Amino acid sequence: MFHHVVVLEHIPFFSIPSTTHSLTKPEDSDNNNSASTDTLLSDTPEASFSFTAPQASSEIVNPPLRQSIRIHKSTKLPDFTYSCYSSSFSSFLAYIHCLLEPSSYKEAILDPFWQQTMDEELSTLQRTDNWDLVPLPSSKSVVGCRWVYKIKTNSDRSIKRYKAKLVAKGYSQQYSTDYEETFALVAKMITIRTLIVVASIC
Amino acid sequence: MAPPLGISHNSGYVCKLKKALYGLKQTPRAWFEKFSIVILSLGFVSSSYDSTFFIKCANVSHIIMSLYVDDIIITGDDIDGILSFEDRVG
Repeated sequence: MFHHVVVLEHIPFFSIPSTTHSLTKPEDSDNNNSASTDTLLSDTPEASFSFTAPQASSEIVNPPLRQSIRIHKSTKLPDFTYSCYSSSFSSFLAYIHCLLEPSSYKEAILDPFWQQTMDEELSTLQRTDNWDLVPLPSSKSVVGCRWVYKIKTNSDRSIKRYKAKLVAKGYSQQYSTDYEETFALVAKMITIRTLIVVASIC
Repeated sequence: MAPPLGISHNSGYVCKLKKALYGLKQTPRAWFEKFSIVILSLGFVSSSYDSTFFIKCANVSHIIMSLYVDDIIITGDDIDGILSFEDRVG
């Protein structure tokens, strides 16, 4: 369905200037169809990130023969430099980049900053005496856990704080062995309504 | 629980949780239990009709509060009391 679409995931789509339409090779956009056919024939991953430029109006009048010009997507991002953008736009991009939250511990551990927030969270958990380290009894399984990283922002997008939190994978807990009943605190609607009425009278 | 990445531990050791951690099935209940203890120690009284409903009566002023999962509606005619409650809980 999306054969012609190459997603530049790290760039907000609404602000890509027209000059980025030939990110990798300028000749690709000049000679689009042959470049795509070359991709098919030679099957080189290097050519896979030619960004298909919007067709010129003359080409829309005479559309080319419909044929599969599937572009093999690489999972790697194209080589990216800020230099091809205006200074204000590249600073905007840099801002977006620096707001990226790591998705795994492997990523976060590379950044001393996130490492520090994790250390703080761990020391908090240890200070509040959240767990004991004990040997695992035989034939028992453990609940996994993972780190979740979040950049908290104020309503004006300024950064409030960086947060690393440890979450347990509660979805692996089994009903009747690990827990019996779950609890969701919900107020009766009549209570809420009464309270709002009282508040409006006070 | 499996020891989190980032702590040093012997292999074969696991974390025996003493407290709830975000994500567990038991966490909401544990949170409410803890919240109730704190709130009752502040002089609030729980309603027997709706356990999410708490009221604190002073000589002339009242604070009324209701919980909804992790949100709180709070009202009353004791503005200072409400503010100090926010400080205490928030």
